[in-house]
Amino acid sequence: MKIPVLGYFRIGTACILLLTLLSLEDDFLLLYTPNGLVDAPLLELKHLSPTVTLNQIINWLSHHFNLDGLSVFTLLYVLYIQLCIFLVLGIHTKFTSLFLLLLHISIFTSLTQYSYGADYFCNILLFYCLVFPTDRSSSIDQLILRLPPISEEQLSLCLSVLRTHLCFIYFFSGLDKALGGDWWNGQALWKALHLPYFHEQNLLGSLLPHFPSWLFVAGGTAVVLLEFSYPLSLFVPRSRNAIVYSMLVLHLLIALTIGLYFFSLVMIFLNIISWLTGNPSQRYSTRLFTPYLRWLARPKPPRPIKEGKSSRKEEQL
Amino acid sequence: MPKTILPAIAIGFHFLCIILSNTLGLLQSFALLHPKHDYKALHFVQEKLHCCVTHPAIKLYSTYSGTETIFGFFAPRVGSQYITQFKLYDAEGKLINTQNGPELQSGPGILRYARLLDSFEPLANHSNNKDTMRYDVRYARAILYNLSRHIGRSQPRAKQVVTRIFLHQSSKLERSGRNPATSYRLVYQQTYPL
Repeated sequence: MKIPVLGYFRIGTACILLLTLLSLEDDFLLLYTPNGLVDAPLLELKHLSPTVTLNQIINWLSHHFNLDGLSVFTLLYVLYIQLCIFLVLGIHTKFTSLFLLLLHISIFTSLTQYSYGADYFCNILLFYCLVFPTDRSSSIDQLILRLPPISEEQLSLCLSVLRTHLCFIYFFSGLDKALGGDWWNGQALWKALHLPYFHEQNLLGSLLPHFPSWLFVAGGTAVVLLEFSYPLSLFVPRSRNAIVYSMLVLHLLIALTIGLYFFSLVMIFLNIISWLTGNPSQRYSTRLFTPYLRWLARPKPPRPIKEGKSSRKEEQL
Repeated sequence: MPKTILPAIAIGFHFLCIILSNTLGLLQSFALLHPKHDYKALHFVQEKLHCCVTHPAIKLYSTYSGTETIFGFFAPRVGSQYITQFKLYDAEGKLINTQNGPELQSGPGILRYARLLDSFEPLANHSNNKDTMRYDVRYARAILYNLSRHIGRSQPRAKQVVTRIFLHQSSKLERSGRNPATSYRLVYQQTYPL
């Protein structure tokens, strides 16, 4: 039985985007409205990328439709949520992915002053939702338009692209850390755990002073080596389980100690989709979630047909 | 042309964008770690890579596909964070309120505010601070003025805001048992009338 990996990828991406937006609560207004914490024209002075900013969209819409800025902002907020729901259901998947990508970039990444890692990873996820045949897996589009299912070759190609991208992510991250001495002597880990805005959300904060210094040295070295060796999971299947599960633990620890919940969530999601739902026929495929996902994707038993009422299909015949 | 050539070219280009952006990021990290050395070859490669990455077509693709993302998180060193303090005074010069920032409610909101405070990096360097015409110094001051004004308006009686920026400094790991783990250095102070 085939697991609709790309369907899960699309649904997971939309859920993460929705959670990211909703988690900001009222702070979203304070940070992103034109009259928020910092004036939008001042933030736009650092706008160098070939993108359209949220403020530009708001200005354009309010100018052409005679609406006030806050109403347009509310409309865009609702539109973002609606597009996320459409993406979960797989309604006009390609258009939805495209509009959501453009809107996400306008809100979260076109101006970098408030952006952090998770925003850029959401951008990557949305781009893959757009270019991969995600509309042909567990979607309403597939049901209505009777799209052909994704072939084994296509799925394999998509997963290979995701896996290679992950290998680049960890390899460059590990190499960058390995350049300096701070990650080898534990100083970087020590400092990261004491940064004030992360420290507030650190569940282990009160225990930190009691940890021996060798633990930070070992932790920093392990992080560099683990990230650096991640591409091995692509080429040496025997090492795959150990590396991928270690990486999941690392991201859980990042979430618990530094409070980067959404960043960790995106990375865990990417790892699960890329590796842990792999083809069960692969000898060294990591398959922690495979039984559960197979259970989710099980075919539903056909509904009993009431006697005396012929189905529409029979009528057509 | 075989059917597989076009996807292969597209995927190759996609990964090339990732490699170019991140190699440039690596070279920048290397230059940051060795500021006293003047490697001509390094500058040459950096310049060429920068030209490639900022080429309009590549820039457009890499922005929308997310391939311009540099993955060196917390690397090569973990940067320090800035802390703000806003003291609000009334017309008689009496202290009304002291707060460390806007009243944000969510964890992700606080993280994003912390990210905004990275804009104050030019103010932390005293030699920059004297050069008042520098663009990044002026920009950081404008952001600070905006923040102070916003927070000052939250108290109708406030007539003046004294804003301070502190740089967080953690002690060395080897001295962690003897010294307090963190300390704060005042890097900038300004008074704004409302």
